[in-house]
Amino acid sequence: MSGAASVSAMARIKATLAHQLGVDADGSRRLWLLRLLFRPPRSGQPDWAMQWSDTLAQHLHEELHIGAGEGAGVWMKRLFFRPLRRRVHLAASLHHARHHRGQQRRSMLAGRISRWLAPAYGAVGRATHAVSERLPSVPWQKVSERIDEWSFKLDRVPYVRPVVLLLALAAALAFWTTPVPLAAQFRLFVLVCLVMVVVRHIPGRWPTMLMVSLSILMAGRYIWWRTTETLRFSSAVETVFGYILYSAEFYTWIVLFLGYAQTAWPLHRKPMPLPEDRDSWPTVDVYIPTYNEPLSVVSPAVLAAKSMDWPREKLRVYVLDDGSREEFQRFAAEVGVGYLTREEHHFAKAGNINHALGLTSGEYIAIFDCDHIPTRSFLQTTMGEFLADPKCALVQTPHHFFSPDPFERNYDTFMRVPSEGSLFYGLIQDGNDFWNATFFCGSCAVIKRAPLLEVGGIAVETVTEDAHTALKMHRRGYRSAYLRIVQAAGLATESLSGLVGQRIRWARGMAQIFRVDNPWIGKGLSFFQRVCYSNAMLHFFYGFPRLIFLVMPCAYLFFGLHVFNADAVSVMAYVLPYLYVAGLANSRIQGQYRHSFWAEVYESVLAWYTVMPTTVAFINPKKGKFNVTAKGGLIEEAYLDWSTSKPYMWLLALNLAGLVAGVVRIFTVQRDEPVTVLMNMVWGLFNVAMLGAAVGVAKEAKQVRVAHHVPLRVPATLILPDGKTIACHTENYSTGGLGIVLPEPLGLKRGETLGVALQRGSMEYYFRAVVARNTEMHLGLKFEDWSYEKELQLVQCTFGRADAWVRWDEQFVRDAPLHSFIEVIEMGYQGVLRLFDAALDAIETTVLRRPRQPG
Amino acid sequence: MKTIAIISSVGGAGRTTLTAMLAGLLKAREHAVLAVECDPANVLATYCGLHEPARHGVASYASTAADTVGQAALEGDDGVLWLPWGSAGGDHGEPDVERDQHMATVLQAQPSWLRGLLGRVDLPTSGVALVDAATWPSVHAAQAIDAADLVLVVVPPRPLACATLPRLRAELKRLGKPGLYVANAVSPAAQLHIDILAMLRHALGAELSAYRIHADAGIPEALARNQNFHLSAPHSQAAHDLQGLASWLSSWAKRAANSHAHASGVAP
Repeated sequence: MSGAASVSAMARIKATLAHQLGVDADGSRRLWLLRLLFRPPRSGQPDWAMQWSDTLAQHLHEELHIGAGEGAGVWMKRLFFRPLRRRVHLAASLHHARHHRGQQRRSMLAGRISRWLAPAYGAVGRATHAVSERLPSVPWQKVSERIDEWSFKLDRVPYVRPVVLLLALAAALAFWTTPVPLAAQFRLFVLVCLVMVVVRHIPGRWPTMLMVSLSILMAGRYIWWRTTETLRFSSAVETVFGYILYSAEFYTWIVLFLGYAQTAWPLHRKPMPLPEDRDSWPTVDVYIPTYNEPLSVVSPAVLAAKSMDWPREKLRVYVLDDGSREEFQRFAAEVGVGYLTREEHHFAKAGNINHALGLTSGEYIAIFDCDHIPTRSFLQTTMGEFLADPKCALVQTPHHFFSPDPFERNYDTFMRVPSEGSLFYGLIQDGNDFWNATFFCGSCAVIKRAPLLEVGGIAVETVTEDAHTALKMHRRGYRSAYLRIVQAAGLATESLSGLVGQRIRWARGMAQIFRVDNPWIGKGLSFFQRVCYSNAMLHFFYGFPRLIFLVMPCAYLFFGLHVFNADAVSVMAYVLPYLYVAGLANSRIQGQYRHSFWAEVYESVLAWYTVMPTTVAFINPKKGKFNVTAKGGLIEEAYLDWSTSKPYMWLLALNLAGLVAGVVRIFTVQRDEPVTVLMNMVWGLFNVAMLGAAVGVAKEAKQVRVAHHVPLRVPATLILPDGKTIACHTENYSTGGLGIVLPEPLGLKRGETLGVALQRGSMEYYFRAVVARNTEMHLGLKFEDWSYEKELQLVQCTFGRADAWVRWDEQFVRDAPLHSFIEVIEMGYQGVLRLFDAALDAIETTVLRRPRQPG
Repeated sequence: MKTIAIISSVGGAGRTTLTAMLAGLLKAREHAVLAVECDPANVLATYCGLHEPARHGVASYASTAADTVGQAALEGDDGVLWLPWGSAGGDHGEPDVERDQHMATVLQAQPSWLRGLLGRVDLPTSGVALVDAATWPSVHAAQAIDAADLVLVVVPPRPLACATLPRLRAELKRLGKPGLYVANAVSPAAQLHIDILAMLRHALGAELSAYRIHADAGIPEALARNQNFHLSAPHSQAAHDLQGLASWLSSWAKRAANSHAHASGVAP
């Protein structure tokens, strides 16, 4: 009785309380708790407390892995013992990043920052727009033409040029060496910055020259200050380290100045027309050297070379097979090209070509790497140069890659950020051409036979036979030409280790040339040819300076060594203007071909590996052997290339430890100079970002398909089984297959047979194919009854098209130094995360003896 | 107004279909378009949605019963004006043999009869009249050629078309009429078509239009459903080809109209 009474009393109290608190009497415990702390909102107002509690509850359920309606016991247990579950990777997946980036084509971090700053951006943009609307527009094109005219006139006056140059030198010397108080130096910095910021928006070559001149002036001031003021050290150890840093910087100054000279005036050469009379066109041999590449890689190149536009009887194609493979011999016979092989395999590719020189007789020799597919217009574009200039011995065209290199693949920057090679083929070669110093690059080039024989064939003394051959021909007074028109395209190096191997070879070869045939010594070269060649060689000695920069902050952070004897304020007054102005000037010159800060990333990755080969080759040019660049592999599983990235992990660990040491230092021993510690830590952080990026590149992304699918966009016609046609365009190509983007979903079934027609000029070629996959707008086709004849037709309609690579570089995002900086920092951050993930994976695998499930 | 005659030297080349489709495409390019049928087959009206043969049209202008002229022209949804042959008579729209014979006599007697008729049409200078003629050689085709500023010769990739083409070409040369040859219903899957196309290119050079119209099963289907092909299957290759051809004709018509205006001293 009393029990029942107490129960009903409890129920009554509960009901009263529920009424007072505004809860349902049988509401959940969470609701009761919530209402005890928060009053119910007035009607029409949002229930913040409720929403917040819902979110928290959901989060807890997920985190603790508790289902709905579990008792308090489970909650208590889970609070202390979490169930086992799969570890999540910290680094952003590429797929995810690509999805999020979408149309923006920028780094994700930059996108996020710009979203935060969107209101400010908008206001500034509107203000700028309003101001620029009011300003009178200047016809910069005309101004620049006028300046051109004047300068030409002025140039014709005798002695003006040397006088002007001498005056400029005198002024520059005065500018460099005049000591001013710090405040004045700062004012100079601000002034120069203002000029740079304004000038960089003016199109044309003269503003570029102005920026370069300003950069030279500021750099000279910095060098003078650095040399005269900062090289006072208090101990022997500091002196040693200080001079090491100074010499590394000295290298960068030389490269900076030589680089300005080299790229001062890119020539932008246009192709020369050929004479009307086709009988007067010379005979051309096409060499396609191969060693161990599979036939599927080589055959498109051979077929494309065979169908270049040139009189049939004057074009002979040869496969130079150093692997002496029967399969290749049969292929050559079947498609009707020459096949040359040799008994003894001396001097790799150079030897292979020299051997073929003795067996063929064409007046000109076009050389393609076995995976570079020329367009039909290659010869007609390049040969005019030879006929117009009888002293011309070499015409080089760019190497263009239609697949991403490891940098691009592993950071998803393909067709977004210019690749490493862009700078060389876009700018440096074009700049070299102005000084008649174009290098032969081993492929996609035409050489005249007579001069080549005169220098004894392709050079065999060094492992970069191409550049050395060009150097020899330049010494004999022959001219060279560079046409910056992509006329052939090939596969990029597949893996990071492959890329590193290739760069080691280049670095070693360049160091060898520096020793055995130094461009500053010997006859036949003009001053600027020597400059161009030596800059190309010096470039490959970046290993030491880069490594010095990567470890130098640790000298202070660990040992308190003052390797740079200057207070923080003067560092800001001299170093910042120099770096800032040089950065802007370089962004102006190179921006189209290399984004700011990317050179640091590329160099950081390769520095360690080029140090040894260049040093060894520099000391003993005979040592070292040729290694073939591996192409055409596939990466089955995403993995971290531990062996390649090992040195960077040590350097990274060193810098991270340095940062920790810096934090300790700032609070303990070096409380008197916190700014110096901070500056060294910022330097260390920058190094961490670079090294993070370097390690991150070693994380090889998965490359699933067996055959390469090469991005390729040409119009195509589908002929469906019901007789209807669809106008579409191709998206990629792989041997025996084609990827197609449809204009509308068709819902084709796997295995359905259809026809696809591709055009070559006014000709149309038809290929029978079956549907391999079809998702919405993307269609994968596999060709039926495939033969060399069909492949020839396909190559002609695709890679061989004269317009195949026209305007390929239009997709790039323009260089903006700040964006680029953010992107590089993000790469570094992601790289560190990738390393962390990979390390945990490795530990998990070894400790638990259980391979991680892919996915 | 410029007149384009659409003729072919063999039957079933797709003249009428092409005329009808080009009419719509030129209209979409902001030309005033009049599609005229100069062919006793009397089928053009089918393409503008008429379900029985037209009873009024070109033939009405030569007949004695002048009251029917007012009903001769039709206007489609898209604003294209249609002037079918319109010689059907009787209860079931069977061809009126007498009228056709009368027409043939008129056309025989007055070689420029059609030109006179079109001269009376008041279209803007950028307007285009497309004349779908009977298979050449015939009086009807001769009338269309006579009236035309440009003769569009439809060439199906068939051996017979190639065999008769030189004669037609010589005739056009003799008359001094500029010709544009269009390969129609080409299937890249058929080696014969590819070969014939190569032969035509060799023989005709620049006179062969770069736009060959691909064979597409959707074209007769669209007619059967009373649909406009380029609107119902905009992504088909044939529609792309037709768009290309129409753009070419449009720019030709504009250029011709401008040069004519300049020549006659009228301000453009």
